Amino acid sequence: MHTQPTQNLGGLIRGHLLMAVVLISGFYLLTIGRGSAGSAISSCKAEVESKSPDLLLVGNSILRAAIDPELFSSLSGINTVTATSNGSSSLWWYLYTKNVATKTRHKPRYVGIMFRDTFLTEPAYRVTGSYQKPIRLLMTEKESLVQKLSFSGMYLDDINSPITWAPREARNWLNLKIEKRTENVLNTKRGYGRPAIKATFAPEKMRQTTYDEFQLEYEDITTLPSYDFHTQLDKSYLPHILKLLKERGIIPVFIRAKRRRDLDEPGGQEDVRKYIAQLKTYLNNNGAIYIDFSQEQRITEAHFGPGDHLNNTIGKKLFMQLFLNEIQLRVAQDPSVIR
Amino acid sequence: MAFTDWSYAFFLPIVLAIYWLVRVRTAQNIVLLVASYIFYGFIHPWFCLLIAASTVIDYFCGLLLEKSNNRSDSFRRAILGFSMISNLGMLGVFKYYNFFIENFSSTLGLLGLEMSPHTLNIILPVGISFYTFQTMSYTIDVYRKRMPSCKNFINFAVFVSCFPQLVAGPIERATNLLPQIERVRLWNWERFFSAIPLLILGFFKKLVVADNLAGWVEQVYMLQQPPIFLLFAGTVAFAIQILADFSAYTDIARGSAKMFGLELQINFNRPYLAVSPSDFWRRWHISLSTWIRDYLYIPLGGSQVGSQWRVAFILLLTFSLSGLWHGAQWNYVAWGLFHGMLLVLYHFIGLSGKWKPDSWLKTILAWSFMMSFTLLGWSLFRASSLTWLVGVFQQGQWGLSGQSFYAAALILGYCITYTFLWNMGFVISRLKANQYWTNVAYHWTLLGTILLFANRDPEAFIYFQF
Repeated sequence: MHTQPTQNLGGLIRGHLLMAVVLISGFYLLTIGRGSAGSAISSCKAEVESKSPDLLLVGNSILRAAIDPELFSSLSGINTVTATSNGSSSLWWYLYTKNVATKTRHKPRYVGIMFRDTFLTEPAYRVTGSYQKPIRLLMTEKESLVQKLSFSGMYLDDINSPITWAPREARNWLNLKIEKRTENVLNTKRGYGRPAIKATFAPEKMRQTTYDEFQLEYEDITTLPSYDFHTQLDKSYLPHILKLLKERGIIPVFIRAKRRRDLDEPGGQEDVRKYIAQLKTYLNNNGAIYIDFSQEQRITEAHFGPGDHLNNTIGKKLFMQLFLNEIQLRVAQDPSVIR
Repeated sequence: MAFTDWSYAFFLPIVLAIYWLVRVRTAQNIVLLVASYIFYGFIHPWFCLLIAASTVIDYFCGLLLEKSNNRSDSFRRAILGFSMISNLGMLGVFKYYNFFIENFSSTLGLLGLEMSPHTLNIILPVGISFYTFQTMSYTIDVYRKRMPSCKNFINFAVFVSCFPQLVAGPIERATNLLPQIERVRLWNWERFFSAIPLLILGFFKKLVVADNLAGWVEQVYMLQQPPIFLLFAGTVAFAIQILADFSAYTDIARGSAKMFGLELQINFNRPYLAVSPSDFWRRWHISLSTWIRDYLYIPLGGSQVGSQWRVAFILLLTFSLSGLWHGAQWNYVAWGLFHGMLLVLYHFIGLSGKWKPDSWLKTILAWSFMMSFTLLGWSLFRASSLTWLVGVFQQGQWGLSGQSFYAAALILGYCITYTFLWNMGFVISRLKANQYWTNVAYHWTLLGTILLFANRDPEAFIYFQF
């Protein structure tokens, strides 16, 4: 690159400063008012209020793969709504409980959270990178507990800062533009693109072993928990979730999903089983319903899809039946009874 | 530590500040050495032991080789042999042991013999392929009396471990880098300002181009049987990804080194404009291809051997080893062999060496062929297995309509969009008027693009696994 002689260093610096000011102010002007925190709260609340569920289930894609809310509602006679965010963990579930489930005019009778193993006491799991957008959309202006439990120490990103979310939003905007342009160039009908992409890269078209390995590795908790429930409990969202639900008079339900690894070792390794025993006792003492499918023998390899997800054919159908049995057993009875 | 880690944004200015404050060359080299070891051992400190071992061995081998200039050639060869065995031994154990033992076991299995392979569970030290080749080139050059040995251990250690080029090249020759390390280096504003565009371009190519295409490449190559056109689109994306990723590292390495007053060699020269395999290898990973040429191909006889078949054999062997250098997997060997076969083919039809087409039509034709071959080679490189790739072509589905065609077109659309600014750089470099401020505006635009479109969950540099 041709370089300017440095005799006019002052002019050089002024020129660069001007460009820096243009760039930074342009960046902030573009981001004003966009992607603001909490913008999904109203729509989530509206959904709950319009559907008025008795049972509101919260979770991630594991829940989405396991339960079809409309089908389950008609099977069980219990008006059920699911609130899911792919890849979400305890932070999103807490925010949903705090800012949606316990704030709607309609009060669900039960709020259930579907989790795997130790997810309930991992506050800093899945709170960075692309997980931040759904979190940010459920946050209100001040979330001091979130800052304390999930973002102190290791995580320096300010979740509400445009430096963090703007690149992702901008990429999404650009990607959408490219998709639409491709639709125009190929003269396809509007909205053809997304379903085409989903169909082309559907999980059943992936090389199963590699995809499963990828998915399982991706889903593995890498924060290396100590599996000491009581140590983790105070640093987690779980007590806060229970407190919020109790204050509103909502009965909490916690559903432990079966993982693919449970096929070989039902309930998990010894550390996990010990942790779960402590979790059960805690939930019992706090008036929560606890349902554990990790050792459910009827869920076999054939019921699984990619990673820990149940498949859409027989997996979902079986799980809904099993869950229906459990719910019918519990809902009418004393909620302090644990399986 | 990687260049795209936030820690590098703090590391570089701190090291620069200390480096230029100390002023004295010896102290500067010590600063560079300490910084390089911190950089390298940031995640796995024990990696430093390996590089230190390589440094010590080759430093003393170099001294011994020079001292024994008047001794018998067999003695000198023994010293060189010791250096080679040490370096290649380290490389062999950490990178190739599992590959060889598993293949040996499979071969025995085919012969009806049972062997349970005992594989090692060790992490591949990042950059081992690069610095071992770098130190080997030093000892070979001293052996050949092309350069004197380095008498200062600190200087030599800096040459081996200089952090900007340590983990992914360029593979520097001692004749280029050592004299710079041994020279006095003075602060120069122009040099400093000329480094910044390299850094910006490097980060743009990595965070915007490579990392945004990576996900699509991954998805295509994870399909059981992608239609051929979709595979083509995924391979185009991969071709861009690997060039962007690898050349980004070189740009950042060169920009960082420039700030310390060191000039590293150019490693890429628009490789996708190549019109023949020879041309491609003069443009792609130049430091590796020249290393292979000078220390493997030419010593084996090169193109000067009498028999054309021997030339062909040397080319195939050289490029297979080049492929193996990239990784301990058969698809890398296949990729290397594929390029070797191309070179042999072009050699036999008289289009080798510095051949260039002499008309526009021939240029377009030659480029089309070479680009097709390059893409085919990349599909070999990227595929998880040869069986999978063969299966894709055997199934015979072209995918020229329907959903997969849309997906392929979309991927190509991403390729065009994300490379647009990069290509604009070439156009701007040819402008004559007001070139300085045009370049400045261009690089500020790149910076803004990084701010807005960088994939903040960046993939590690592809060549880090080598």
